[in-house]
Amino acid sequence: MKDSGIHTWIVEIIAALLILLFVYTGITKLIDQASFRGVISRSPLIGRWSTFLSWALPIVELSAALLLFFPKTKKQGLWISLGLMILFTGYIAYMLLFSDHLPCSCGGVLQQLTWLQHLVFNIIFTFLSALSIWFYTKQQRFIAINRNSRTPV
Amino acid sequence: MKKYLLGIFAVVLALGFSAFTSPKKSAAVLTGEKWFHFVGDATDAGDLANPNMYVLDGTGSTNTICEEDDLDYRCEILIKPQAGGTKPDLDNFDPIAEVTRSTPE
Repeated sequence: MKDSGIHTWIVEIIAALLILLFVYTGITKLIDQASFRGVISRSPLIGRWSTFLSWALPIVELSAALLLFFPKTKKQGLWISLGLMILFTGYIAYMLLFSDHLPCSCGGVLQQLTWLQHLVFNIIFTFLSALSIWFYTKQQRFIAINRNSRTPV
Repeated sequence: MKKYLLGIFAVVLALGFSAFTSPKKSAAVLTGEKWFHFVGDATDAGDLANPNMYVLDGTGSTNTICEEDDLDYRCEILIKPQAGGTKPDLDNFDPIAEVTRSTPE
């Protein structure tokens, strides 16, 4: 019981951190949409889809935050967060390894980070997303076992 | 309500942070920016703010002189030009992109 309580708290804290990250970066990308589009248009990897991505990325981020907010959709939100973080991390790793032109398309104060710092930041959040999914699954299994063990006499 | 508390706190914090993140002055400019090569002393604020210390990089459509590499000194900027198109409009716009170099000039 004690473990389950700790796991619940860890999932809640990680979900709150992801909400904070996605709401902040999503809103700053939308506020500064024109320059966000301008910056990603110069990316050799995703530049050709800059108009689509400049809208789609913040919308997906805000949707992920919304899913994380409600207990019923938290699991889906955590999976989308993990997917997003893997995509962002993969993009940064690819750009660092193969591109000599590094335009920063991140939102708000995250723009102040160097690409390497950004990579580390994303790896940490990817790890946290995966950890929260693992704890969430454990916690759900614990609830299911408890429910099944309460057999009527 | 208790289970929403952390989420609400995170949303409020995110909205607070984004409220203090002002968009760039040039955000409204979608077209017409050009690349300018900085030819002054990058440690001199006067040079950095002086449009005559910038020359158009070719046609201005791409940066061809400098590498973007997180170094300390300004080398090229992407910015809306003044009327005439050969000098950057530093008074009305911020650069929307900048490439740097390791030495000030």
